[in-house]
This record gives sequence, C-alpha cells and structure tokens, in this order.
Amino acid sequence: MGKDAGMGQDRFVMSSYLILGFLTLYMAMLVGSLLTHTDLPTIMGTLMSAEVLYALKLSLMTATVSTALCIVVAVPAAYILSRSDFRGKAFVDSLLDLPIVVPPVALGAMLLLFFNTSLGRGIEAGTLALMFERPGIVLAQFTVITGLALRLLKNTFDLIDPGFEDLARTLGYTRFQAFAHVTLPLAQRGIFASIVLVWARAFGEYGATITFAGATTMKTETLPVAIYLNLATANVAATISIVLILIAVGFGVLACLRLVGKEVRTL
Amino acid sequence: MIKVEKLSAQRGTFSLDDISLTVANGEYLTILGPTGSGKTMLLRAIVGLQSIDSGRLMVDGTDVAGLPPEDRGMGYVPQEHVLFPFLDVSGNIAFGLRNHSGSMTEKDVRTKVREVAELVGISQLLDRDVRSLSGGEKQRVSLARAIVTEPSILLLDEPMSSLDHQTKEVLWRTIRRIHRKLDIPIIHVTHDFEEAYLLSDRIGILDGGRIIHIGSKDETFYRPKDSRVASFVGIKNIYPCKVRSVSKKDGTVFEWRGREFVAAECKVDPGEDASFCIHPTQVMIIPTDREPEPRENTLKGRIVDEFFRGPTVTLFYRIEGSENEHDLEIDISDFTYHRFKLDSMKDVDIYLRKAAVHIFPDGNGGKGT
Repeated sequence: MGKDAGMGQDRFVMSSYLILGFLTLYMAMLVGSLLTHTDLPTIMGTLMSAEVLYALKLSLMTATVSTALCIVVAVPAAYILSRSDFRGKAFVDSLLDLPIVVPPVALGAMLLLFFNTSLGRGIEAGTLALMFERPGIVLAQFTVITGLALRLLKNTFDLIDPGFEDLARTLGYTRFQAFAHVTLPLAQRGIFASIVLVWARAFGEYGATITFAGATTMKTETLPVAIYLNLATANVAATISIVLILIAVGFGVLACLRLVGKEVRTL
Repeated sequence: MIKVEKLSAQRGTFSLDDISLTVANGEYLTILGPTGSGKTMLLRAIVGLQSIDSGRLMVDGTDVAGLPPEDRGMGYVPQEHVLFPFLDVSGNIAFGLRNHSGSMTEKDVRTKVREVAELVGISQLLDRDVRSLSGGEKQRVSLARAIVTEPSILLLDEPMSSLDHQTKEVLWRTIRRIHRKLDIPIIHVTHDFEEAYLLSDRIGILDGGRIIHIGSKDETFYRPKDSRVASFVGIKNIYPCKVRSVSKKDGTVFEWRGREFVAAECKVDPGEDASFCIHPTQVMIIPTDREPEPRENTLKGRIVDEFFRGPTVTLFYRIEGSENEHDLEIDISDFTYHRFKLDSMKDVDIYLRKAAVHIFPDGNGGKGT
C-alpha cells in the first residue's frame, strides 16, 4: 500500500512538473516572439521616438497621480471597513468591490454616461474638463483601481490585531494617534504592496481609459492605448518597444513585491 | 481608590450585570472566574475599551465612566503581551511617555524607562528586539510599559496564562515587588487559584457575568459563603446537614448521616437548612500505627482511588457503610502518603478538624446525605 501511495505521489509530482514546464515555455515563447519581428537597433530607435516617450511620460504621471489619490481615500475607507460594523456595510462593501469584477470598458462606459447627465456636466463645469481629456485618464484609472486598493488594504488592516490600538489608547493615545503611531507602522508593508499593485494596474489600464478619455495620439495616448494605435497602423516596431517597456515595469513590480514579501516573512 | 458601582455592559448575547467592587490604594484584588465568565470584559469596561450600559466608575472620587480610555490614566496588561514589533524594548516601555509631547524631555523619558526596567528586572533587555524575547520577558516589558506612566490603577488580564510554572513563579515575585512599591489599586483577573491566593489581598469570583463573592483569601477558600462559591474554589466535600446547636464555647453541633459532628461557631440558627464543607487539604489521616485517640469528628472508611499529582495526592475516601462511590476527597502530600504506607493500607480512619469544618446557610449542598 505504501509503495502504491509513493508511486501515485511520484506520478502526481512528475505531471505537475510537466505542466509547470509547459506554462513556462508558453510564456517564454510569447516574450521571445517579440524579438522575431524586428531587431534591437530598430527597437531602441522607436523607444526614443517622441510618441513612445510621450506615452511613457503620460502613463507614469497619470498612474502616479491616480494611485496617490486612490491611496489617500482608500486607506481610511479600508480601515473603517475593517474595524467597524455599521448598517448596510455588506451593501457598501459589495458596491465598492464592483470595479474588481466589472470589466474596465464597462466602467469607462459608466463614466461616460454619468458625465453626460446634468449632475456630471455640472461637476465637469465646476472642476475641470474630463471627458476625452488627460484628467479623464486619471479618473478612469482611479475608478478601476480603487476597488482593488480597498480590498488589499482591508486585508492588511484585518491582519493587524486591534489589540495594538486598544493598548495604545490605554497609554494615552487618541483613536487617530493610535492609528497613526501604531496601525500605520504595522501596516506599512501591506500599504506599500498595495501601492505597487494598484500603480501597476493603473499603469496598464486600457479599457476604461480608451472609453472615457479616448485614444488621441499625443494627447490621451498612454502606453496601452499606444499599443492599440500602433497595432492599428501596423507599426510593429513601436508596438514591440511599448510591450517591452510594460514587461520591464512588470518585472520591476514583481521584484518590489518579492522584496516586501521577504521582509514580511522575517517579521 | 477605585469604586465600581452597579456596572452593566453587553457584548453580543453576553452581559456583565450589576458589578460592584471597591479596591483601595495599595490593595490587590484578584477576580477569579472560569473561561467565558466575563473577566476580560470587566477589565475592558473599567479601562474604557468596552462601552457600558449603566453604572459608575469612581477613581479617587471622580466618575470616569464617560471618559475615553486615553483619558482614564489606567495601566492595562492584556493577556497577550501586545508588544509593538516595530519598537525595541525601551521604545515599547517609553511608548506611553512619548505621547505626552513636551511634558517630558527625552532625557527624562530615558531615565524613567531605566527606573521601571530595573523594578521589573529587565534592565539588560532595553536594546533588544521584542521579537527575540521569551514569553516571560515579553510580559515583563508589557508590565513595565503599563506602569511607567504612573497609572492611577493597574489592571492585569491573565498576564501569565501562557507561561510555564517556573516562569510564572519568577513573574509572581516581580508583581509582588511592583505591588509593594506602587500605592495604587491592582485588579488582576485569572482562573489560576494558586496565583490568586499568592498575590491577592482579597479575591472576587465572577461567574456568568456576575460577581458571586468577594472576600478575604480565607473566606474564599476555607469559609465560602455558599455551595456555589465552595464548588467554584474546588471544595468537593460539601454536604447538607442539620444544625443542632450553636454556642461560643462548643462551636456548632450538627448532624450528618445520623451522627453528630462539631464545627466552628457559625451564623446558622439551629434547625435551619444548612450545608457543611471542608477543604480537601484539611481532612486529616489518623496514623494507622497507633491506637486512634478518642476524638470528635473521626470517621472510619477506605481509600477507593488515588490521583497522583506529583507533589500531592488526592485520595477518594468512602465512609464505612456508605453506598456512594466515594464520599470525601482528601489532599495530602506525596511524603505523607508514603509515610503512612497508604499504598498498601487502604482502610484508614480520618478526622475532620473542627476549626476547618465550615457551615453555611444553604440546604443545597451536595451529593447525598
């Protein structure tokens, strides 16, 4: 019986290795195929083109601004969702989770429809132009990433024993001081990981951006939008350059998360 | 001094009902209670982490019931030490001092931290990472952090429940040192009788969210007011009896199982329903190698079972003629057990010491007559 169990185990491990090998090969082929259509000098040339540099700069700026706005609102909101019970909490929780499960293009359409109502037009008139403008990219990214940020941050706060804050309060700290001096330091790695993940999500956001802010070259052209525009005009070299940038950013994000994970494990 | 007056609080389906207690400066009150009796909830209500429905909490004459925890000035040591992992030992101890910005210089803070660390016996640990400390060391840091702000009262929530016995003993001595040094009320909740007896001036018993008894250590363990308290503190020998007479000179004469016994003077009127109890440690074995002296309260019987607990042995004793599985539990030392050769000699006489037989006005005493 022991022998049979051992053999079964071996077969399971071997087939799992095989599946892992196929998956790795599949991803390697996808990345490798980028280099079969063009050569390195062409890629380097297009990387430095005005259009790609513009798209890179716009993506970096919009993703950073939308992430900053998102974290400012998501930290207190996630904290309350984690620590308090109130009437209608389940409804609020589900509503705020919608951006995680609704396709970004649908969120973009909802934004477009909202800003075509009298309230939406009023807001736009009273603040700044959003539809088909660069600030619209920030709003589209914000709308897509906030649900994810809330989920990640709520999980972070859920894992922190409220006993730490309670103890701080018995030592003379107000609720806010306890949050600032105890909860935030305990949550800093989780918050950092959330920032990295939502920033990467904003950086690669396409569906809501193109629907709400449009795809105007050198205006609302973020990197993902640039891929779409360059593929549409069969500019393969530019497409490949942008995809490589996105892959490099992706690797950077994964490296950051590994670093955070390592530090968390040594806690 | 702290005075809790008719405090009631609710958490889910559990409630604390009508809790009243007073602890003077320098006094040590231990609240004993089983798991789920509301011990932690009571301390959290006092420190302000649990809202209360009614009642008053007077600290040195001021009602603090409406104040948030940060304004109550109470020291709290939770069951789990809850040390801040992002601060070292001295950072943890100084945490409460650093909040009062401006009132203390950094030099004062360091001096105060060193003083308290010395009192608690952790001077050598001040630069250590709290994650590298043992359980006992963590609780000492937690204690130091609670007392460094000079609280008006110290609340200890089973701080030693997760420690081994040897570490507990060291910490008990530390707590006694703190108690002697600080002239503040201390309320300590625990389910450990030994700890309660060793540390306290008085002991309260909390059961089902109600204080069912508060009294001195002897009143609690040897002269309980009713069978509920007696059972709670581990007295298994509780029986209904009839009081025949009570006098200063002869004490109490009572009837149990058709014969007369004597006990210390009691507050039960003759004829009234009553119960008597005797602590298992107070039942004496009469040595078998000599003729039993003619004493009152002697019984003949047989040891029917034993529990070896290491240094002590619990004997289960059946009285001659009884049909019960056993009638009395007797705790003796392992030394006495072997000295009296009880491993081979099971038929022995026992003696209920008059002063240790306690009678209370309660007819619901126990297991049969």
